Amino acid sequence: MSLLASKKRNVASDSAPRVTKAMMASRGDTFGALGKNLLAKKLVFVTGKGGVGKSSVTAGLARLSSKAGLKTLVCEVDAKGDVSPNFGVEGVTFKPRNVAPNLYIMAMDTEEALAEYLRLNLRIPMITRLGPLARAFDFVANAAPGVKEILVVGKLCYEVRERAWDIIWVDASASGHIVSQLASPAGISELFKVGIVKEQTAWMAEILSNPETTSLVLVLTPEETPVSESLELLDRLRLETTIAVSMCVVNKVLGEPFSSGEAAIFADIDGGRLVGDFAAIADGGADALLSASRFATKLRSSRSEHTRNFVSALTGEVATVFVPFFMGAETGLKLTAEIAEALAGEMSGS
Amino acid sequence: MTAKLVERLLREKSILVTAGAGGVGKTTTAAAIGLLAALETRRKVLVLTVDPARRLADPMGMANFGNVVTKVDLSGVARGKDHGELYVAMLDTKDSWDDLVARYAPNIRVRQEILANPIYANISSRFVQSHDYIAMESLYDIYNRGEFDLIVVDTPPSRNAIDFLDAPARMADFFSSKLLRWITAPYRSRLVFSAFKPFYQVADRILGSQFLAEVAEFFMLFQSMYEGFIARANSVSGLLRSDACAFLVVASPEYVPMREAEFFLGALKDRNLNLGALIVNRSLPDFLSDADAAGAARRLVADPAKMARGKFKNTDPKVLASVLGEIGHTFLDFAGMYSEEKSLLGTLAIDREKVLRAPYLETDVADLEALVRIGYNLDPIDFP
Repeated sequence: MSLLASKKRNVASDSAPRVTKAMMASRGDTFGALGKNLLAKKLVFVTGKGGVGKSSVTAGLARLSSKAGLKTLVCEVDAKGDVSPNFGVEGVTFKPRNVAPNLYIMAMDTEEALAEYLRLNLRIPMITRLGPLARAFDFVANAAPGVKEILVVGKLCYEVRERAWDIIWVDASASGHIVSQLASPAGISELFKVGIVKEQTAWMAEILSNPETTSLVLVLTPEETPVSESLELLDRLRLETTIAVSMCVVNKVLGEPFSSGEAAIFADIDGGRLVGDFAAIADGGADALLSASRFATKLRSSRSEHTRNFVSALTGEVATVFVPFFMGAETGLKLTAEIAEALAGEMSGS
Repeated sequence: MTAKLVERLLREKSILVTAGAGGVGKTTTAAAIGLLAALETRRKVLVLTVDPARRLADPMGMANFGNVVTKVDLSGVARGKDHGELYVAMLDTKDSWDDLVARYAPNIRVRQEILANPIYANISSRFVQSHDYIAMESLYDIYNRGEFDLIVVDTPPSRNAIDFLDAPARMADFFSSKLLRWITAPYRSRLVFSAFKPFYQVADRILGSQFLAEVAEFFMLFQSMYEGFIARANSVSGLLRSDACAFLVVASPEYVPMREAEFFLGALKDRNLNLGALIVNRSLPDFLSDADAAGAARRLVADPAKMARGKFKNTDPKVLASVLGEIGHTFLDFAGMYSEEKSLLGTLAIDREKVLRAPYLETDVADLEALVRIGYNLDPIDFP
């Protein structure tokens, strides 16, 4: 909880963030047990409710692993293009694109995943033959829940099995949908009695439920709905899937503005005995200055409360790390670097 | 005071549909608009949500509510003046599908067979797009019953925000599709089967024949409801296009949600659907644009000790300097965010008369009071 107590300014710094040599040297010691553990995985799903900064956190984690020398793939599942600005590029395709040393990004596309699957497994090379089949498949896939999901999960598991990457970070679907994706091998296995799809589900389920290989990172912000939905999601993941949750990232955390001594003086300035003195130095800006501080104070105390609620409601051994609110750095490489640095600090336990 | 645009929407429309990316406060906005309509007009208002997350219950101050219409007690916020009535309801997708089957199935046998089909069970409970369709379908149903003057619909969290707009049309396509005939063909005639054999061999290998048989059975049963379904889907589309209905696109003032809102505005236009307003939710307060404050904040940050020195009576200068520095930093941080919001708004390609903003509440929207605060602060935006 160090970050909550600190008065660290949560502002994107102007200087380019540094990744120290020590950080790059080994993926072991500098990240501490938590970081070491996470970077040893092959497949990590990063999920969270819309608007919590899931894509930025995914990008931050990917930056860390690529800087640690791991051949890293980021896969965006709900292809809205949210992830590409975090790497300073525009557009992502199904074919992985190299965006930095050791770092590749791709967007999931179920049709292409199907085409690839058929090419590899059924040796149907011609796209012409695939035309009507793909349409028919799309139709069935829409009707039968689990088919699209299994393609997403299947492609990811395939990449893991082929050992093409050291680590794959999945900018996964928002909270609700991730459960059906992760549970899809089991669901499909129930729905399909025979056939290749059924045969394929066993090895996928094995990859997904192996905590050495696969895990999930849950991102949330310290606000009421994200906190309650995250707790619900953790329950559902536990009950309906076999995935191991290795970390919760509380994003956009605001530091406490005033210590108690400072709060007393602020009260004096804000409507107390120092009102006049403050107005004299504020040149007509006193009201707006104080309004901003009051606004920030309320916001911070509400966020701290939700953070505390979340942490105290967590059951089991799920690590929680905190990433500050980087005001003014909403997206882009700079934010990714700031988040990566914050995550590295938190995961090293400092 | 209520902005003219809001006033018009509340009084003149019969259906308001909120839409937007996840996490922007769609549900809260729908609730705030519904509440405002009930307080400001004498209309009977229903806020309808299909969100499986049941989020509307929180701000409405209710523990939960099910698939029934519940009246909201406005006595705490109405302040004695004339007002309308507010109701909320949450749709249970599964029940609504069962209702639909009951309505269109030609006979009891077909109805029972559909309800027992495993594919149907899956579709009705888990099929994401079915939420979209059923939301529009139920809206149509409630509208036609005429029990409410205004229905505010909170749309389901779609993977793609425009999915639900196309849901009725897609559902119609679905049932008239040639592919449907493909799938069901081998179960209807051996002759057709041989023509489609190559397709079936592949499909069989991938999916397994039992699954295909279940799919085929499902679609054959559903085809018996085809005409009723198509007619209905077309009526639903018609209602959404009519003047009775307007869409409220909700966004938060951040890059990705704004781009998504822009995309959505284009999608409405392409489909000849009425845009009621773009609501920029969680907009920071205007005092952050105060130039005097910004100047003072910069001086406070640059040298807080100098600003503190000798100008404040009986105060520890060191602690004071730290407080002054913090006040300055805080203002500049938030002012920076505020000006980013403004420049983001400046890039929006939209009729500016149709842009409203809703305030960023520093606390949770956990009760009717908070919804009232949002509703009464839906204001036009001053564009730079």
